[in-house]
Amino acid sequence: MIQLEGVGKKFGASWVFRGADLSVRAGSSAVIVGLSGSGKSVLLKLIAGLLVPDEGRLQVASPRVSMLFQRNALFDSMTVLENLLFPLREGLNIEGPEAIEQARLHLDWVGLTGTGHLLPGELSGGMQKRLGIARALIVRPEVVLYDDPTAGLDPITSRKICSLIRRLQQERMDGPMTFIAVTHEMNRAYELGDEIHLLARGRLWSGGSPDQVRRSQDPAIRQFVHGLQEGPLS
Amino acid sequence: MPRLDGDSVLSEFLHHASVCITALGRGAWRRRTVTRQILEQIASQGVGSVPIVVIATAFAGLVVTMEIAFHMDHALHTTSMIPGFTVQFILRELGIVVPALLLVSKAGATMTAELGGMKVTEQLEAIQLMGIDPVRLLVFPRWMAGIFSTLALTLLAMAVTLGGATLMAVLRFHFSVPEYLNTLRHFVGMGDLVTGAVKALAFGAVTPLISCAYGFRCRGGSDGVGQATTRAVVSGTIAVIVLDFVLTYLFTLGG
Amino acid sequence: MRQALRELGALIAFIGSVLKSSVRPDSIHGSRRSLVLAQMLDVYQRSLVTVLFAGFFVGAILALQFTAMLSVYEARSLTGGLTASACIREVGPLIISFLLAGKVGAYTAAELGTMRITDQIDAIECLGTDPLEYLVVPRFIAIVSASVLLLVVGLMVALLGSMLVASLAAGVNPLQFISGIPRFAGFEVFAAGMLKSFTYGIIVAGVSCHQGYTARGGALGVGRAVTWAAIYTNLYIVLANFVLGQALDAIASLRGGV
Repeated sequence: MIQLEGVGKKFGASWVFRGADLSVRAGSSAVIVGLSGSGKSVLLKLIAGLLVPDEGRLQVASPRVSMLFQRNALFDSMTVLENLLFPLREGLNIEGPEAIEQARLHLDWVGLTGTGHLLPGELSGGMQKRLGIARALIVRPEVVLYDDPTAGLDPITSRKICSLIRRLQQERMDGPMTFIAVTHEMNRAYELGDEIHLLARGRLWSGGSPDQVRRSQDPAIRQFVHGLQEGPLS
Repeated sequence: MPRLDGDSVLSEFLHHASVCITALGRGAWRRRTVTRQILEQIASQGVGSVPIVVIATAFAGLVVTMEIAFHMDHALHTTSMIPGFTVQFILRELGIVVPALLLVSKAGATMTAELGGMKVTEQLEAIQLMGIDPVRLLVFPRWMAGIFSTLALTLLAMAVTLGGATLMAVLRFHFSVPEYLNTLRHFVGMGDLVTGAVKALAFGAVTPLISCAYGFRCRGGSDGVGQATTRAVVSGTIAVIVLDFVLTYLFTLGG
Repeated sequence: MRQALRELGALIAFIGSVLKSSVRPDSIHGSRRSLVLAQMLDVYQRSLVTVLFAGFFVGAILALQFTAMLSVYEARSLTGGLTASACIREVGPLIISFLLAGKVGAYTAAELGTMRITDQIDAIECLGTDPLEYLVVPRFIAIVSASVLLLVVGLMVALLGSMLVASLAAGVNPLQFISGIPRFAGFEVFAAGMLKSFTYGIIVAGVSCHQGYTARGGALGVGRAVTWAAIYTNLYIVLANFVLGQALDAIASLRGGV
């Protein structure tokens, strides 16, 4: 579904990362872990098509890509319901009762029943995240990109968001959903990913399944997973 | 789809201009949601700027009479020509540039801050990812509203400035109101009105796009928004002054 | 209206306390001097190019308008004098304060506002330093001095722009242009322009420092401070322009009468 070969991106003269290889099968999930500032968000935005790579080949098999942004990017002047109606109306030309029906369905789905009339600013951090997820999913994407979905949340809420993401992937009725998430917390990565990779020091270190990553002998991955002070990443 | 990570404000400005003109050509304002947004923008940009424009131009009218009287007395030893010169200066210069500059610093700054805020909170990217062109969605209504507000406020400013100028001429230099207004017919031709309309149209079409381009190119957190707003105001001001020069030059050569 | 008056009262009180802090024996002298110089350098760097650019074109626009008006009287040679006088007495101080408000005033309001909401100003106070004296006084002096100095610089480029356009577009001899200047731009005109620039400088500095210094309510509050600083600055300058114009006129007619 998603294929990266030797992808690199630079801002000005300095490379964020180079030579990133990644392949994600349809219906599976990948998690990119890494230190803050290592370019995780940039990688997601490249896959989303919001940025253009400076080298390498990048292929996404479906045009229906959606994203949960780090700070949710909710429209703060619109109500919760309008935030969901907006992509339907402007992006997919769905209006009227059908749109409202879909919006309500998605609110129920992420556990925000009855909050449609509120403004995003009146929601708690976890609820804003749920709304961001609902807005990302309402356009029926085949690929969803989650940019640090648990950032700034307490451990309990953060676990709830992770299981929500997993549940939504499995409950999809119209075919398998592929997703990539980035995070810097290893525990969240184990919960979310079929595969886990590490972005650090300007390159993408290929990991594997959560079990493989736990037992990995690769010095860089070992250092990150166990939070060691000494190693190739310091 | 445009890239949101380019580097020059000028290229962003040109991109916005081409998107807006294309949208105008296709009659995009006719869509119900777009019409509503244009009206909302007119309310915030135009109606919101009425108080400051009225206060500033009323005093500008009072002052311009004093200034012109001072200089005419000095240069030509007569104050009889006050109405003629004042009216010409207001209709050719003052009544057009003052509202344009005020709009740049108030409505323009608001637009840059608003769009810049959306940029740094990734809302622009979210919109783009929904398959919607953020320029068409956000800039086009602001542009249309900017053109309309500038034209309307220019008319208002001219009227208020003339009012202030007449008041001062009547109170201080003892002209009568009919006498004063009579000069309007002698000194003001079709050419002045065309000049005024073209200038106002140019300011109204260019300055909102500058404000929007700076908003779209904003970087960093709330710091970046403040910086973008400052730069947008200064660039808008310079643009008004330079455009004013170019248009005045063309029109005086043509006339 | 009530709110505007209360705002004006608070502004005057603020400027008063800034002045009080600035005349304290140790503030302009010794270690504080370097702070003032650093701010001045910063303000000039920010505004010089803009003022040069704007001044040149403003002069050129005035030349176009004046030559067109004066040609009725066959008096184009007066263009130089009129441009100089109009720039010093009226247009120059206004344009410069407008640019200063946009370029430096907004920046200052944002800067002080950010310091306020991130508790940096409280932190300075806790260290036993007067934040007014440490943060506001240097910015205040820098902006007021810039307003006056930039008038002189702006006037030079405005005259240059005016002379170029008058000679190219209206055939006014540059020598004639220059020789007409002293007749219009004497000491009194110059003093009037300086007084206006000084006053507007105080308004720009006072309003933007006051709005920033008293900002509250997070990043949104900083944005509000910047917006209101711009609005109040424009408003007060327009009012001051009228009052000063009337006062100067009254002085001139008094002296003329004697």
